[in-house]
Amino acid sequence: MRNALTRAAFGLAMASLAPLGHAHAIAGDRVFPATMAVDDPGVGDELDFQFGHIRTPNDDGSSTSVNSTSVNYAKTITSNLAISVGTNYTTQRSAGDPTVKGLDNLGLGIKYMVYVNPVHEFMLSVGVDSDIGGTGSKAIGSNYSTYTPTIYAGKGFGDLPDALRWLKPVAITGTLGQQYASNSSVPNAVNWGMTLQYSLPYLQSFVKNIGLSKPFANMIPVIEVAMSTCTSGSCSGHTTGTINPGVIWESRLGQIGLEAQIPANSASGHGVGVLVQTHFFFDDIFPRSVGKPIF
Amino acid sequence: MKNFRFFSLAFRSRLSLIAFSILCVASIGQAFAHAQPETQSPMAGTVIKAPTEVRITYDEALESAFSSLVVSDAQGKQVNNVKAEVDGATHKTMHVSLPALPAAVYQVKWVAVADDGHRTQGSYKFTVK
Ligand SMILES: [Cu+2]
Repeated sequence: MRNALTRAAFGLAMASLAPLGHAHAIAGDRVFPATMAVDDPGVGDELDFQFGHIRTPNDDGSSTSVNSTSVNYAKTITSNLAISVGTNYTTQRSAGDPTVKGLDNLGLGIKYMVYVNPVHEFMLSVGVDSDIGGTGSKAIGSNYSTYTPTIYAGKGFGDLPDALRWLKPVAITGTLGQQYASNSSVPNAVNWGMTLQYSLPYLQSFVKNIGLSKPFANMIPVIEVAMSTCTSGSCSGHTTGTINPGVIWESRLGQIGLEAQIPANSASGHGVGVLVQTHFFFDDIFPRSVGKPIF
Repeated sequence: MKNFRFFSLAFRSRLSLIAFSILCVASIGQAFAHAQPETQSPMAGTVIKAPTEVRITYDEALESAFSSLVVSDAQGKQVNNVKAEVDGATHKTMHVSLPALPAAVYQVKWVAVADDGHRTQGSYKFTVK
């Protein structure tokens, strides 16, 4: 198969960027939404569906169209500790080649919320995301596993002075993870992401009601930056990823998101992709059964 | 193997999946959740004549024993002399009566505990002219 290594590397990057576990993350007045390309800093009970489309470059200058439908379920063990399981079904089409499609490897994750500061709307979690080699289809899933210890942080700016009140609805989140592969010939990578959010519900309810009506009063415009920097092998130092502007619409029991995926550099692709999310808060839909911590 | 079939089905008809999901979000009616304010009086950031009460209506029923609403002045001193009450019929509105307030900036702080114990909080300011 042409460019098998490129595709494997890209698949690795894509898989590691796919969010593994989302949360109903509350710090003081702040609710961090479940962002799409970068995992939020909280732990929670939730079910997430995402569809993504993007074109990825091959070595010879041609490109492959990648469609991916992913599902992820996160379950709290205690109120601070959650495990998650997920996978995705991927189709890769490139001109002149047969279409490659199948189920990707099973992703397993564990995440622990270390610290929450309600006054400063700050949240910190640590976790490990993993992809279990050989659990997906031969065409899509790699035969090696990856493990990514990751730090997740979020900060809302509701603690700014009133002179800067229009910035109070702003929040940033970030993730930083070092990815290791079980196959020593596969390069390691640092997966890093950032989001910049402006919460219109926060503006309306806590800063100044500017008279927005639904659905705009429930919207959170967001820019996500999801990147992977190769740290070993011949790709060492190379960074690929996407910059995703979009919007998240939040309701009581779930949220819907839509983002463009803009390749961050030419190695990351050409043309704008898309990411669509539907996300259910199980802690709110089933608060007395599957939506509450086991302990 | 059921799941595997579901994934490929989801892939083939992802648009209907998304539509279905939107429907689910919109239609699950009687669950409980993290209560968020739907309407507030006075509204956040407004400049108004002295209000006689603060009234917030949430999108969820509240547990009155654990929910609270306090109004304080710029020095942080509580200005409401009575406790906030949760409306007995809908359980969704929390309100507190206010004494005559002089012109100043005031802060509302609320804690809303939904029926299932989920807790949310919020704070905002209004100005009496
Ligand atoms: Cu919730």
